[in-house]
Amino acid sequence: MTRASVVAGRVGVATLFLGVWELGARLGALDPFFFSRPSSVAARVVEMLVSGKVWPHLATTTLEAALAFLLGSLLGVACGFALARSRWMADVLGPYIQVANSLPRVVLAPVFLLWFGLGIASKVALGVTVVFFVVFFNTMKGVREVPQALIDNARMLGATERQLARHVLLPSALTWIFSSLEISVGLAIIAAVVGEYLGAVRGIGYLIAQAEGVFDTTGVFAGMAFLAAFVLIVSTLVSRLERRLLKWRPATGPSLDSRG
Amino acid sequence: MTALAFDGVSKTFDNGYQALAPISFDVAERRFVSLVGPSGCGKSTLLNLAAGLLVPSSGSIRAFGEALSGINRRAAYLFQQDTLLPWKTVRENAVLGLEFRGLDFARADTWIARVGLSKFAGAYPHELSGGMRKRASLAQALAVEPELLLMDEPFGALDIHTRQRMEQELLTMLDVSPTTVVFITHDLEEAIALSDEVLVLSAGPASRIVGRYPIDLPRPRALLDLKTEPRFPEIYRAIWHDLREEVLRSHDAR
Repeated sequence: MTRASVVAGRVGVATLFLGVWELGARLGALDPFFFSRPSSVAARVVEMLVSGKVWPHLATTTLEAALAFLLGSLLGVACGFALARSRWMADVLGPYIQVANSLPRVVLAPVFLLWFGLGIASKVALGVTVVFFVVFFNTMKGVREVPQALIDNARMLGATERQLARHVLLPSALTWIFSSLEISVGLAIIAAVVGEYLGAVRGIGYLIAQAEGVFDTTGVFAGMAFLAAFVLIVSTLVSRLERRLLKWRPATGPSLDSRG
Repeated sequence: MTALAFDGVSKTFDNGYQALAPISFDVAERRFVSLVGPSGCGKSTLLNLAAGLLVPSSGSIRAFGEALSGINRRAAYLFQQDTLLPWKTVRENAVLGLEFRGLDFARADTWIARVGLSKFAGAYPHELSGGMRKRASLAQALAVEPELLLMDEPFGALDIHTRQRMEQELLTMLDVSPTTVVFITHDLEEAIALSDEVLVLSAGPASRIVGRYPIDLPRPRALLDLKTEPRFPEIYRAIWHDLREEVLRSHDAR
């Protein structure tokens, strides 16, 4: 299996999919009113890029997702850390957190709209509720699963509680958080778009909702194309960042453990 | 001066298991004392008590004349498990104790050189072999210049040749910076080869000390030749006589 064959395969799948869609629409098998056409969608994407119409929307969605990710992560780390270190807090709050996490977040969106308005605040709030739980559970797991010997060793070396947290517990939690970075960033973007879709004045989700409102399927697909490209770029960046942050971790492969 | 003194120290865990019957012994400064006994005889419990990681159920522990409360600040601990932080390089790990205590890092570099890891100072633990990781841990422990070194089967997970080399290196290190050592092992040969004195613990529960054996082999010792010396098997036989019974008892108990 060569790299070239993989790329060729990928291009083939895209060509087949878009080709069938385009042909179907041109030959009348797919009604362009409901299905649009790849060529129309491409033309719309280019037009939106050239006119610059899409940028404010993209910027808004990015800002919402970034803020939701940052706030959700901060809250998640703080709460996860507290609950991992205090048995009592974990026992008291555990059931509530389970209940809160099992709630579908979409039902919260209208409530947040009422509370925080049509601006970015309501989307950030929605995103925070999603990101928080991913980071929270990973932090708790990371802090709890530090081997006791690592903690004992640090304490023997003279670590105070704060030094223990900074040098041992937090880095261990961060490995768990970093390895779920792609998921939490992805969820933050989805939450932003869902929030915009349900009520906003700007954003990719708003664009899609607007197009849908006037049965502009080409506009809907163009919005989706922007969203897909955006997510693809962000997750590539995130996985690069992850690899850099976790460079101390062994690559999968033969280990050197048996060496003397 | 006495580096470590146990006076009627016992330990019963929360689940009711009594690991140690009241035990009394002391370790003079700059002595190398090994504790041997069958597995599950409470050796690690005893070491954790000396480290201050566990609190005795009865009796008192004194470290260098002072009653021990909390972590034993004058001791360093070398664990059987890997205790290097995987997200820190060899050097970052070696300076950890100095960083915690707000001391100058230069001493860590000296120890990294002494354990022969200068070329690997920037490497992460997963890039090292088991023996190299142990050396890094040793540098980390000795960098804080402890007066007492507690070692819990530190070489147990290494292959036999690496282990012999590490034992020899340990003795060389201790010649450079004389330190009191309390060493746990279930390997009697290792205990005799390294120690000034060997204490035999009985099978658990409620372990106690069943024998104390001074080892009068001359120092410095060349470990590879030591086992062929005529005194070695004599000492071995005398201690094994006691230890054997405890090993058998621990098997019967299972």
